[in-house]
Amino acid sequence: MIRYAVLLLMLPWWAMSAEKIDFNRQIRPILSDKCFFCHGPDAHEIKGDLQLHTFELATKKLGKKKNRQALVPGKPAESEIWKRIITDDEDDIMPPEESHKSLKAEEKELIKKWIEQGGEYQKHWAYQDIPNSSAANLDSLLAKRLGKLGQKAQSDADKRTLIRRLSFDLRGLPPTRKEIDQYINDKSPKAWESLVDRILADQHYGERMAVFWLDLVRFADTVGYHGDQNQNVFPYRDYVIRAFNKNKKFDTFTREQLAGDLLPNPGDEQYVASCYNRLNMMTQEGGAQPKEYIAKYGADRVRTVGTVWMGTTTGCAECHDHKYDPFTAKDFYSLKAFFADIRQAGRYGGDHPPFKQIKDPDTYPEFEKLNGQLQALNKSISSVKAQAEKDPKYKKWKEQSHLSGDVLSAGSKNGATMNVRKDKSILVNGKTPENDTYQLSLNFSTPTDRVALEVLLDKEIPKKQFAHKSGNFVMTYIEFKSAGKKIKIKGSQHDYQQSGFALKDALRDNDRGWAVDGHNPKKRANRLAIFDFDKKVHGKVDVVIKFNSKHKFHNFACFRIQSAPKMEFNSLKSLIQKGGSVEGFLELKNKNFQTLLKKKKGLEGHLKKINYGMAKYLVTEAVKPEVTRILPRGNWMDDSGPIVEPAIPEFLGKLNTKGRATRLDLANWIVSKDNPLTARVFVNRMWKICFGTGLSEVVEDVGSQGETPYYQEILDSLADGFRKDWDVKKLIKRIVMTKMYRMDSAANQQIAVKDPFNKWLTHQNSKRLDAEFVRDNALAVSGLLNKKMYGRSTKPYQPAGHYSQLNFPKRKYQADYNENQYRRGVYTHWQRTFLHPMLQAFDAPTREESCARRSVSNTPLQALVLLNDPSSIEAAKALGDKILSMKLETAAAVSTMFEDATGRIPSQQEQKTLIDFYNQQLKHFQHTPQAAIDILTSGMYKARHSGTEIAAWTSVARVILNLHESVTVY
Amino acid sequence: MKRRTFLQSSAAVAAGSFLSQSQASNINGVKFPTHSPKIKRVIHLYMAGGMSHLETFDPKPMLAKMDGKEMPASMTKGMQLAQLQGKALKCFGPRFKFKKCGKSGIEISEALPHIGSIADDICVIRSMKNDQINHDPAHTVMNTGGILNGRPSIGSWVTYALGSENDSLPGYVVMSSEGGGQAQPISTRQWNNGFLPGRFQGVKFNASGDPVYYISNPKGVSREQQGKTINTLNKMNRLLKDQRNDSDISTRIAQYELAYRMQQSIPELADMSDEPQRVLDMYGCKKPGDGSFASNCLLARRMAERGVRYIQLYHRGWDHHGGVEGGVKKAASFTDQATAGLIKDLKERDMLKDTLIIFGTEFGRTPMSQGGSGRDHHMNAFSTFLAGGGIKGGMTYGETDDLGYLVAEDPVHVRDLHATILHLLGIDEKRLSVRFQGLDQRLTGVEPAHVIKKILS
Repeated sequence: MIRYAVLLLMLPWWAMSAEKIDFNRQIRPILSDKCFFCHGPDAHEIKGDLQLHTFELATKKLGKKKNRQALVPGKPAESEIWKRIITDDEDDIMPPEESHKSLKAEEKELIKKWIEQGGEYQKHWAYQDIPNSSAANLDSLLAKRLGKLGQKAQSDADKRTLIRRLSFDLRGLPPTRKEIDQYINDKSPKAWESLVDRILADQHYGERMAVFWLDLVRFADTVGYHGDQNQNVFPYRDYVIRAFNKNKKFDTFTREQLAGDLLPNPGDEQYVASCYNRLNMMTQEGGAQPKEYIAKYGADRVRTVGTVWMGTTTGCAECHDHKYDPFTAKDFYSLKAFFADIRQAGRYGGDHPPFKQIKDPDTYPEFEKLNGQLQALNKSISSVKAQAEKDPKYKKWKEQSHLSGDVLSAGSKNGATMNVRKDKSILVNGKTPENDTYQLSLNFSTPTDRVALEVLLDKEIPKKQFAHKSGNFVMTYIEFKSAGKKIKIKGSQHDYQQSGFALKDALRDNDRGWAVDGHNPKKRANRLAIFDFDKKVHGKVDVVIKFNSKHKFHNFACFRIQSAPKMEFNSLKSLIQKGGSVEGFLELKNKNFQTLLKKKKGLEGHLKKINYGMAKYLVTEAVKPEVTRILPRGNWMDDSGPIVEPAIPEFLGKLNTKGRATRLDLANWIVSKDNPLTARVFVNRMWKICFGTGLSEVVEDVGSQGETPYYQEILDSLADGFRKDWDVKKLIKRIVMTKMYRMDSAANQQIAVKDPFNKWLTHQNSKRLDAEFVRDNALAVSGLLNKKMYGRSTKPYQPAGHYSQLNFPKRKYQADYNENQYRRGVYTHWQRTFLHPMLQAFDAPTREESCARRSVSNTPLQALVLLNDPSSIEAAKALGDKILSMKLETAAAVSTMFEDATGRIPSQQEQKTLIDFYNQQLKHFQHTPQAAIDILTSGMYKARHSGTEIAAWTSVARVILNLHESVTVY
Repeated sequence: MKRRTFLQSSAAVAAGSFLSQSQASNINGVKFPTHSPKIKRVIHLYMAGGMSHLETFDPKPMLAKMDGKEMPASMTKGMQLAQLQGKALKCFGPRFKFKKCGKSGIEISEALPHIGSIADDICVIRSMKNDQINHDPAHTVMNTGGILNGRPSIGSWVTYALGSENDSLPGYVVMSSEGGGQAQPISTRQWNNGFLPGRFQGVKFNASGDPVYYISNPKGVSREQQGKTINTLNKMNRLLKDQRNDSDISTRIAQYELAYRMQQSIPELADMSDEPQRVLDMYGCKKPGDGSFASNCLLARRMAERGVRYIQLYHRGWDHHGGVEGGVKKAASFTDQATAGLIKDLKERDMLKDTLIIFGTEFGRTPMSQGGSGRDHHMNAFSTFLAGGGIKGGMTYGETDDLGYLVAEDPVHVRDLHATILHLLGIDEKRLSVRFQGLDQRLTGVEPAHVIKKILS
């Protein structure tokens, strides 16, 4: 099977003209492809001392005798290039056989002609200065060339096609019925322009543009390497959408992303934009060497900035000078040095600092509401407190809180120091014996038959533990004596005891005792034990406390013993712990106060859970720049390479900065008038958005291996205009206002053969919708689309087990079972290593690497998605439901459905096919009522209708949503 | 029309099959196969996580003698380490005895008795090298030949060049099982089509649920009704084609037909109820379809019979930073018998002669111990065996030094393995290239790659 047979039969487009040979368009691609690998700019790999990428080098005298010359202007027969091409000698022929490159007859002919005409070189088109040509009329430029070719541009497409085209190109959504009617009925000469203005002003424009930009900057919700953990970056996506909608000038847009943090007085917006520098893949893999990954991240940033702004493939220069473009390894590492100041880790653990926070669009409104409630609650609490202060009951309570139990003496048997403090607590320090016995004498000023022992955590004890050398304590014995006689303890209570270490164990003198799980920091809190005596005691009481456990050093180091009133344990605890405070009183006595407190606690918990309405995001933080070296052959372990400073590629000029150049200097250069690349690259990509392909087709590479645009004058005119004001909407408007944009996309048979890639632009191109817009279209047509903008990424249904190979941690995908299910594709959670299967089937990139051009495939997996994915069935069900609600005749109903999905009114035959199918399905479901129920079970959308009709309409809707036209823009 | 679309659709239309074309193809003027192929298909049994060569295929008596002693510093100085960075480096003797197996007497660890029993059918390479020390990038090298993301994996390259022999099954299939150690994640990047057309992407078969995503009809839709729906759809698309000169429409129509066929052929393929007990026993397959490595091996044979071109079976269970002895034993208990069973089964069916079996891993493990019982990642030397068409059985190739640390003889870099695989399939690796980002990209990259001629029969 001859895959390219069709191509070989056709003459190349440039062979059609017999004018002067154009070096850039006709010769450079041949030299670059066939010769530069050995005779190009990579100074390390030159064969035969010959380089062909400049006129000077190509005309250099060669050989020992200096009597040969590769290029002799005007004289092919004397030019070594030509001689080597036409020779029969296997050893001499160029390109050599082992390169598997060969020249076609017409290519040879071109080279000969070029030499005859003088062998002139031109600077590579993309590096040339942009001519002053912004005022040119683009349609005239087209007409001029087409005229010479004897070709004619297609006429305008019909209005329905046009509005659908514009709507998808600039919003990624189909036009609404209302919009279509309005446009069709607008007969004024300004109808198109006002439509363009409306669409450009629509908020969905930003969402559409973000899709292309997010591919470029490889934006994703996960880190990409190894465990592919989540990262906090959604605010950056929202920034991009807003920037396009606000029509932020492209130079500002560039500066904010590369160096938002370095701008004077950066605000939230600039910081969020600087997240751009943090979108590289990252690793948390245990065995990863930080230095190796730092090298990977740096190289990734260079490749990305090269693709995004310079349209230059830089990746190869990580190891060697570029073989085709004048881009050297030194340039690569000098670019890398701009980013050496970004605070980062080679290997991250658990999270990916540094962060900043901004208002979270999903939770901030809730935060505001709840916070308002909390303020109100705090007010009520204050007023209840103020009232209680005056309550006589409270005054009595306060009096009760004056507990008696002055410490007369305190000592440690094993030499620890006992310090009695003002609040009657005793702090034990000094010597730390393994075991100990404390002996105290207390004075109870009022008769009492109950004492409270508090074991306290104190800031004087290290790590907030119960004991100096242990988190926990084990009190093995406690005894009270009055007048030399042991007091009988008839009951005891505690607020906590460790399993196997009961308080009552401390009432018998052995090595077992009371403990409270103090080893666990979460369990550490002041502890309380109550002892009830069989009779009241008064005056001096002696206390013995022993720590004789086999667990060493488990002697508590801060405690207090006082008398305690008879009251329920929790009340008592509150009284003791809060002293006589009004809160303590209210907490016990006032139901209303209790409710308020409970509410407050609930609210505070909730606020904490939603992070007080703030969202964390990865930010760029500048630190002292790491030393950047040229890594020989990209080897990160080799520190022998020279140190480089930040610099732009040498062949593009030099920055004039005082001191070390910064990311901001880089950004300023990128959008400076001296740099011809940025405007050309961007304009070319906008053209791709509007025409499906760039004026220079290889939108990721405008270097010598890219494509010299056939209509360079159109590209340059647009670029010249764009670099004057960096106004993106204006640029797009200029493109879509041309007659070119409005041309019919159909090519006649003759053109399709002569110019199969439509390089002449005799017609518009048809385009398959991008993955996200395939989804958006189904949602919009069915009426399910939730137009909410911004916020956390959303999770459509996904086959179970899609993440089963993920680990660290294991993950289970939780689809959104709420209105987020119906958000646009641009908001879908982007798991780099396991992209959603629907997005993947429709060629969405994984965003592991910068992507300027998605592939466009047409596969059976796409068919399976549109046929069987629950999201597809659900959309069909909703569309069926919608149509049924309109109560139309069958014929009108199928037409409406068809029109909604394709923007076109169906032909009679198409209409009949759909009607027949509806009738057939209706009959089928009447015979199989269970199937009619089952088909409505996909997805959470609840149809308003049930029965056989809605089932049959769902079937018709499936056909409609699967139409080639439903995923294509003409 | 867009250039890419044009190329894809013209190729597809002409080949008559849209998943992949079944005949030899012609890419950029190069005809594939470029020479007469030895094999039709590849089954890659991928022991993921880093299978220790020292416990499986590379006997090292000297390492046993050095057990517990310090690793000679001259060997390790300046070399990259993963988790052993900055730790004391002590030799750790092999955990298993090695036995001379078969007539050829190849020494294979006792942990792999079943593979030992087919020693005369396999060629053990003991001198494999990778240049990435962590799982994710090492896998990426093993599959795509480089560490940059966005490059096609070998299965995509092969199906791109040769197509598949079955027009209702994908040409490149991936399966995965686990057991025996911590299961390191494996990204879909490992079977991505990269810059090749999407239809050459590896299709992941799932252990549970639909074998392939979205292969089942929605609830309430029978096969017959699905067929009617697709018929109506295609009729509508044909009506559109009458109005528009757009070759993508024909492709779309054909893809729906193919999808419909796949909806039949894939469940048929995955339904193993017709496999006799004797065959199940050969693989040690307890429950066909349970997602185990044994079940996947059996499924792989069924795919091979049906003409699937490139089949990859990951077994995620070989990352033994600790307890390498128990770990290898356990991982082997999942994989040893099934591997031997697959090879025997193919041989019985006379299919081994045109199938290449690769039993490999992304890297080996250090001769030094990690934490006293495990081994760290080791990219400088590891083992892989090949069996099947075009491969000399009963031989070993390449050697490591006395401690199994560095390759001492006949190094085989991953790109050499790739060149050899392509060579067996009838593809000259130098000629299989695609223009991307302005460069002629190849699986084997820019460094020279060598076919391992000595192991070819």
